[in-house]
Amino acid sequence: MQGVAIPITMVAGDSYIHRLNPLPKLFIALGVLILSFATRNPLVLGVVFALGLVFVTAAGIWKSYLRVVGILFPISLTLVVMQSIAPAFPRPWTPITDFGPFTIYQEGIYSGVSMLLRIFSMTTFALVMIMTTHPSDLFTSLQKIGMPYVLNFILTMTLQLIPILQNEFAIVLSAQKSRGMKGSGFGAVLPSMVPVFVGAIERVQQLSISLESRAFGSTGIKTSFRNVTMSLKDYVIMVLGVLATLATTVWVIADKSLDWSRTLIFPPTLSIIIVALAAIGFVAFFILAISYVLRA
Amino acid sequence: MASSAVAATPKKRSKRIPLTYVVALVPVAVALNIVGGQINTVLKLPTFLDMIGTAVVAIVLGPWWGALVGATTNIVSSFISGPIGLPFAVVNVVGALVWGYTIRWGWGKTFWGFALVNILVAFLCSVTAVPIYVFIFGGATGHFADMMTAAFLAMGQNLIVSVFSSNILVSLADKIISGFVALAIIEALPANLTQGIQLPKSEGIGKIVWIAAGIVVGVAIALIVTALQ
Repeated sequence: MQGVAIPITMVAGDSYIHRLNPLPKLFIALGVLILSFATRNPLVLGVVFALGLVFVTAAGIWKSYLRVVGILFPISLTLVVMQSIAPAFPRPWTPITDFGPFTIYQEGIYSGVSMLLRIFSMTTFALVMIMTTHPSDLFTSLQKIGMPYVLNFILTMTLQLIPILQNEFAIVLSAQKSRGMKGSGFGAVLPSMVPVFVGAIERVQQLSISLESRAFGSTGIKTSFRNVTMSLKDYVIMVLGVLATLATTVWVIADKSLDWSRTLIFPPTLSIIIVALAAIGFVAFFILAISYVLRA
Repeated sequence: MASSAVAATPKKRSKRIPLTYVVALVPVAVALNIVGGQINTVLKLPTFLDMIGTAVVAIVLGPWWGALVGATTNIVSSFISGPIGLPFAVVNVVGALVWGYTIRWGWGKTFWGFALVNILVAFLCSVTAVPIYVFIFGGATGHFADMMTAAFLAMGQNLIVSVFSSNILVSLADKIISGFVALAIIEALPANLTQGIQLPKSEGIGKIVWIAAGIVVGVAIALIVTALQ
């Protein structure tokens, strides 16, 4: 289906990060995820984000990375606008200036900026992990550390089925259009879900028989077509990565002076510029979105 | 497998369905969820459409298989569109459990009962989703509902109430539509899978009209929601 391509897939390459075993990458990405939620300090989050961008450069995946980050754009705009006028922060709030019917709060800008950096830092690390790892390698590695075979199979199977179902949707929608029916909007999408799903169920029956004939669910050692090994270097990077993220997490939780919510003062002009730019983008995005719906 | 020849009660539906079938059905449902969600995003529809597969599996195989589909949906989609959706796995699981258990308890026997189940799912999903929106994403969703949230904020509501108010409207439209599309899909499934499930009963065309009516009501709510912005 045009426009519904999977935005994130593995970007082929032979960088150092590509060659790293999936497990160290996964554990570091998880560590950064926990670290990002442990702090609201913009500097710490900013440094983590910048570090993520260094990895993006090292892996040579800038083009694909920017395409995915584009999806986060509307969320980022709303986040800044919402937070500035209604901080997810305990009261009392310090008003900076008025902005139309709203008041911009100091804590709101702080919260908006830190949440934005949080989302971008964790997403950057996750994307580096996903875009430099073949899914099968990741699942093979996970199986080695004790992930149940059935769950592994379900996850791999799903990733393979998505492009197939996208294709079938496109076929059904084209068939509807060629018969003079609607090809977009609710009127087209909802009815097309039934034939796509029912077609997929027939596939399920074939797949089930095929699995049955290959003794799926039998006990014994399972082998994989792809072989993933952990070298000493991978172990070292994994241990160092986990220790670094763990130590930073403990530090940001323990050091209370990192809470800059009341001390990092945003000047009124800067605040208005940040919120105004975000608000213009926010409104433009919604006008675009509503025009899409009206056309549908 | 230790399952002896004990005649399974209707509750133990999944026991009658072979493991290989379940293992094949769950990925299909997850893929349908993800593709539905992608289409929703691309066409900018004021719904989510990412729980239809969850509803089908929760109703046909049982609530916990539905929960597996729900959780898997968000885990796999985090491999596709980044980890933003990961915390919302909880919402998808809650939806599956409510659909699965209420249908098992026979709440969805009649048309209005089934509609009510969908409304209950919408409500509980919103209750679960709102704290995630507020505390992780600061109330932003990158969705239509944001405009309504801003409107509620301007009216002087606090962030949690505003996010809940806008989310419940979108969620109601979404879950009613998803529920009835799932019903249409279940109707088209092989009879051996669906026997014994208590769902609205009506004959032939009548049932389809009912299903369409349900979907139209859902779409109407969605459009009113859009118009209100």
